[in-house]
Amino acid sequence: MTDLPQLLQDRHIHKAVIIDDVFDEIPRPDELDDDNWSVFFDDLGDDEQTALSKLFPEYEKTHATDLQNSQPFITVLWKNKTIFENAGSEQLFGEYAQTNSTGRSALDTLVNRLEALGLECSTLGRDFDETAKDADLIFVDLFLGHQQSEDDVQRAIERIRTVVDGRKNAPPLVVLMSQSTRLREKRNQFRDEAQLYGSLFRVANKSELAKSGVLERILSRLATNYEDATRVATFVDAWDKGLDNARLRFIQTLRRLDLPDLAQLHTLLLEFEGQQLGDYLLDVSDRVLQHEIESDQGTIEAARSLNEIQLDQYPAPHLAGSPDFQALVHRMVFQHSERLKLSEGNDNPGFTFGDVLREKKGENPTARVFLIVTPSCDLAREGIAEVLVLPGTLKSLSASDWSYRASDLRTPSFTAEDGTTYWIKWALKQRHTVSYEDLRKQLDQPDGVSRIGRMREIYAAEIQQIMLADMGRIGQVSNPPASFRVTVSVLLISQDGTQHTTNLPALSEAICFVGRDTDAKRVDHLVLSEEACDEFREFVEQIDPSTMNKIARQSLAAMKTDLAFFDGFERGLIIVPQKDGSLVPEKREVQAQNLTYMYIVRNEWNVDGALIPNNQRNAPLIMSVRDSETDG
Amino acid sequence: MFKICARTVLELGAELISSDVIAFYELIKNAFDADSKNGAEIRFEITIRRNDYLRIQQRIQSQSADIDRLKSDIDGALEKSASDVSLGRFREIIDKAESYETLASALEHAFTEENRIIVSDSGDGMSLSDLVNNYLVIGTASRKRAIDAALLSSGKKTPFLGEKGIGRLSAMRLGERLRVETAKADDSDINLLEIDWSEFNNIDAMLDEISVEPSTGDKKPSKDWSGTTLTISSLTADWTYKRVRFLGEDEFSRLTDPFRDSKKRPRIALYWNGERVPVLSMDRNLLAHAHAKVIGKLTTSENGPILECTFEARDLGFEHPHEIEKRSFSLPDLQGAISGTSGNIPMSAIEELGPFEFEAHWYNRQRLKRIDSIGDQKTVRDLQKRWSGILLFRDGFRVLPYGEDDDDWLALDRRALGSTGYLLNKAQFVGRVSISRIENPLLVDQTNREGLRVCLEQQAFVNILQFVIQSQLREFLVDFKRTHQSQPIDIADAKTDVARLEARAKTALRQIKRVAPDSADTIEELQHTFFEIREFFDQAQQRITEIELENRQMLQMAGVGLLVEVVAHELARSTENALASLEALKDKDVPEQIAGLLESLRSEMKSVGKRIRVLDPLSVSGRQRKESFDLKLLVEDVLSGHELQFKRHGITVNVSAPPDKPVRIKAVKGMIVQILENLVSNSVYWMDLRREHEIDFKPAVSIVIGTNPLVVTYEDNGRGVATENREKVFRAFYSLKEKTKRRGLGLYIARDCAEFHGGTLTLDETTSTDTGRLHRFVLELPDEVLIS
Repeated sequence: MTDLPQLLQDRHIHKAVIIDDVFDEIPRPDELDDDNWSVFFDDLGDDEQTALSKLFPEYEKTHATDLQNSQPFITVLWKNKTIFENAGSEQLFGEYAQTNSTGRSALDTLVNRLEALGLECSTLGRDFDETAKDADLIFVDLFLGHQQSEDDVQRAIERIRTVVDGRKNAPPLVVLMSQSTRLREKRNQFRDEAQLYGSLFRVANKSELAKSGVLERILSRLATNYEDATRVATFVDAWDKGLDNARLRFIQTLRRLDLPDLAQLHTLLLEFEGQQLGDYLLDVSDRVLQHEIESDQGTIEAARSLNEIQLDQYPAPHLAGSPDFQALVHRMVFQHSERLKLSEGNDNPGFTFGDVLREKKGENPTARVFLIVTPSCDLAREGIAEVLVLPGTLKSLSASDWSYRASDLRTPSFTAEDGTTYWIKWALKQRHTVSYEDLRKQLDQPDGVSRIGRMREIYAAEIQQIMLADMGRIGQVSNPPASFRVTVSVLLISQDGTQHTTNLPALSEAICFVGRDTDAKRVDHLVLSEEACDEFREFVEQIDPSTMNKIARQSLAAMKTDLAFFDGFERGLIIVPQKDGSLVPEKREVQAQNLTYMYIVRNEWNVDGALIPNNQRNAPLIMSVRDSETDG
Repeated sequence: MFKICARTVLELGAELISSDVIAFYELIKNAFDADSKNGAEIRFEITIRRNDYLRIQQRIQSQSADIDRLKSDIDGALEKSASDVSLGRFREIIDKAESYETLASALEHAFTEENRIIVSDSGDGMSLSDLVNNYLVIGTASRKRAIDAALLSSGKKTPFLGEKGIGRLSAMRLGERLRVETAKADDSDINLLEIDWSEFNNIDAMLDEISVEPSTGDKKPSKDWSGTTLTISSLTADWTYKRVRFLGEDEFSRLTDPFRDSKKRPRIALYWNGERVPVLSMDRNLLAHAHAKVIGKLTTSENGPILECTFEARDLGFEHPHEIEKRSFSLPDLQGAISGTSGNIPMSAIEELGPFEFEAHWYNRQRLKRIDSIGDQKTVRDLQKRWSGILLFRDGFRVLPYGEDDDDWLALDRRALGSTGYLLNKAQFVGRVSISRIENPLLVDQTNREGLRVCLEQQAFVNILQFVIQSQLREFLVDFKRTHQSQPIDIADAKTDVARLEARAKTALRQIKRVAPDSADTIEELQHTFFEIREFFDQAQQRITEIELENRQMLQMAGVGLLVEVVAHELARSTENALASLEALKDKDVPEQIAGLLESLRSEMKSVGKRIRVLDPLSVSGRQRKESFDLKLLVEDVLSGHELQFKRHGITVNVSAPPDKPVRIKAVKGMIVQILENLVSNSVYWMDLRREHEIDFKPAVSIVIGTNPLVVTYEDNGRGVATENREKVFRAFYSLKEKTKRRGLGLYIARDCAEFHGGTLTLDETTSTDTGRLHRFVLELPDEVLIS
């Protein structure tokens, strides 16, 4: 921490201001108590009334309620309060003065500490003051008022926004402070409404600020990131301005498109394409505007500057509530739903490449969706009888569903109109065609479909391409499973955790079939001869439970009565792992006891009398499967 | 010579000072009447609350714990806020007790000594002789004389607020002991008076046997000092901080007029154990945020009283401009609206009433929102609730109990209960009425401080306020809503009741049968007519429920219902009149006269029967079927239905129409009847009213039927309509008739009937040279209605 003054210096943080209502000398109307006002006016004697009339010429003809709400009157009264002590001016102003002096002493400490860090520090009350305009560091009270009301929060927000507004590319660092327990609850609102950046903003309890090290830690973090945070601010500001410039240039281009041009456009192109003018123009505008944005020098410069940020060095954010990236993905992939309205009209459903239709059952939508993959131009031209669609399923979106795997055909994020986020799993193999007419009719029916979104072309095309590639594949006859010879031996596990070989000769000749499961993963099945099955079963029947520990005994007892278990051997359904595994009861009631029948190990040397790992001592047996080398 | 038992004083006090607030109110008024510079100061010095005292005293009596335990309980019950001196003295007294007996009396002693209410002022004070000659004279006339003198000298300001000389009984209400310390500026010593009211409780004692003598006490604090301090002890009520706080917030705050600038209000300083308890003042911003209001005054001019009102609609919950409308009602209007033809309230009562002012601010509490200078929605609602009610102030001081929570002196809630649309509950108003002792000498308090004495002027006063709020303000709001929201008029308010009238007629008929046994035929006929009316009425009601989707039709049917009711009313009244006449002839052998009476009843019945029969098609079908008929004949039919009524009221009718040939028109007959019936019944009311006030008045109606264009003018010489009300009389619920006859739908419906035919019904702008007001209604129908 010793180099904090230097850090502040390096980051050009020189000037700090503290904005807090305790720095206001004179109370405001809403900070004085109505009860005290009543007593004050009741107790004003004739002399005092005369004095007030002199000090405040409007006094006589102004109603008491209006005087109570008059800042000039309160100011006069405050400045002359000693004259009115008999009428209870002390009681009227007492609480205010008390609150102020307590609050001030706490902030005086803050001032001293900031000055000790080499900062030039000033204190401000609620009124707007130029001093705050060029401050590098602002401490602001969450409630700029004694009432601690929402209005007071708004006042604080307004103060900061005024400052930030004027310095969009070099915003100040802001520390929001308060004694209130509502500080945490209000911080996001404050950040958003005052238009601050998370990395330029901290909140701190006033009493925490007084503790050693807290202020320094806050300042150190803020200062460390200051330069980069400014870059982000500059980028956003440049974007903001760049967007304005781009808009102006774009509007000029658009304005030049007059009615005759549009008529030509319609006659020569759209009529033939079957596209609505509005729809088409919006498409064109999107692209032209994007071009204009890309041409803005300031935006490009600011974006380049962003590249310099050492993003890998950043700690966790101070506040949660970063923009919702899924929402960004949705916006990137899909057009806004309002846009869909443009396509409809004149009994023309306006189906377009990329439209996502959702199946309905009466009022309720189902999870089933369809992506239209027929090219737009075909859809637009009259005569298309069949529309090619790719079915898919809306799946709820959670962290575990997020994936960048290339193998899945999926759309990573879709936000429905009710705000629910999904991802869409596309069923590549189920593509089919639907009659255009049917699809059109279904749009209006309760048990039909509704259009819930439209993918931007590039994203829809990506899916279309994968689908087309899959369609273009040549199917092959699948390879049959392979079979390999294996040697199986069984070892008993005794009470002391050692293993002991047994003599089961029929088991030495076994076959392992290697195939795949539905997910195309390798699966090895152990197939024993009938003789081997019998031998194994008889062996199990004869095992003396007294040689093994208590849990293994239970397992053994269960295994002896579990006919399905032995049946599995006979039917060749025992799955042999690539390395280690175990066999457990399948019956649910036995499963619940957490028993293990035996461990299966593959290609391991099992030495008679050797200790086995602790976690394997709960089973009575180990089955060792070894691939026969001769087959290799 | 009467002798008075001492107890009578206690009884009198209990009767006259019926609540603690009234007791304080009287004491405070005394302080103000003494011209106190620092107003009235009321200090509660409470060391133990009475309920705790009683509870512990009972425990001592039942010896439920040992002495030390009881002493510690007493200590625990002491008010922490009491002064150290009081607490010290209290403990000292308790400490000395050693037995249950001594502890009980010590506690009683300490309670009496250390709990007190001190009411003080720095006013004129009383000399020793004032104490003897005034203070100790119950019902002293000293102030009444001064007020009477002020009334005679036509001064503007009352010299005193209290005049009955019973204020001293207030102290008795609050505690059993009273110590008065007082002095005038020229006294050198304090004058003392001590009263122990419990002495008056001796059943056998006569008043003059109880000795109460003033004495001279210490020197005054300073030479010029004057004032009075009442120390009341042996308190009778359980005073707590919360209760005193309530006094300041909800009671004392309304003892003086909170609408006046609070920095000029008379000072009432309230203390609880030395700590100041605020007497709240009203935040005027609340008034600025009323959704609607009416401000007005009654003044007197050369031409009699004038009621002027300004109605204002600020925010009625829909988009509308800020609307201000001034209305003024002169003598003829007030005659109609307050005095009416029933004669319950004579015009003289309004004239004698004297000027007063009022303002009523109306809030739709549901829609009260945050007000910046006041606070959030809840605070605003609470504030409105705190100040709600229409209070009465005389010379700036409250007349109780008007405006209290359980008082509904303007019968606003009773009225609101039965109405739809705008609810004008008392709780929705923040308002005041200001009267003065000198200007309204006949509005005097009941001695028990429970409101104004009931008299004709008081009735006129209440009636005027009800007319302004229940009728005029309501109509203003309804009409305003209709104009800006194009909302249909909700006629559910126009509830009519024929069943009650039928019952009245039946009772009368039964009695007629007894008085004149030979009248069976007539009676049967009468009964049938009533059945007919009843059926008619039920049909109209039935139609209303059936056709509620179509507003115009509904309105028509409501009109039919109203007309039927008028007819039923007339019939019931005729029957009752006939009965009265028959009873007068009872025991006299005058069969011809009896027969004559019955005959006239029968013809009257026939006549009014006609009036409803002409409405027949409308009520039976509920549809507006146009038919061809002779307008001349229809007018004659309608008038013949009123023949006997006109005769009774001495009304002459003159109809002029194109001679010889009929005026055939195609229109909905029932609607034209409604127009004519409404014009007739209005003019009968207003001519009748005029006849009551002018002996030589000859009521006359003139009807002119013209065919080019098709116009019917209807003119009477009744009270007429003020020029400024030329349009307002056609508004729904606008009525200037007296309370029981106020409906305000007749002309509204009549105009609607005219408009249905593409015509107009207007009040001609020509003023009568006689009254300076409007008298001529013009019904103009388009030419296509006329069958040439």
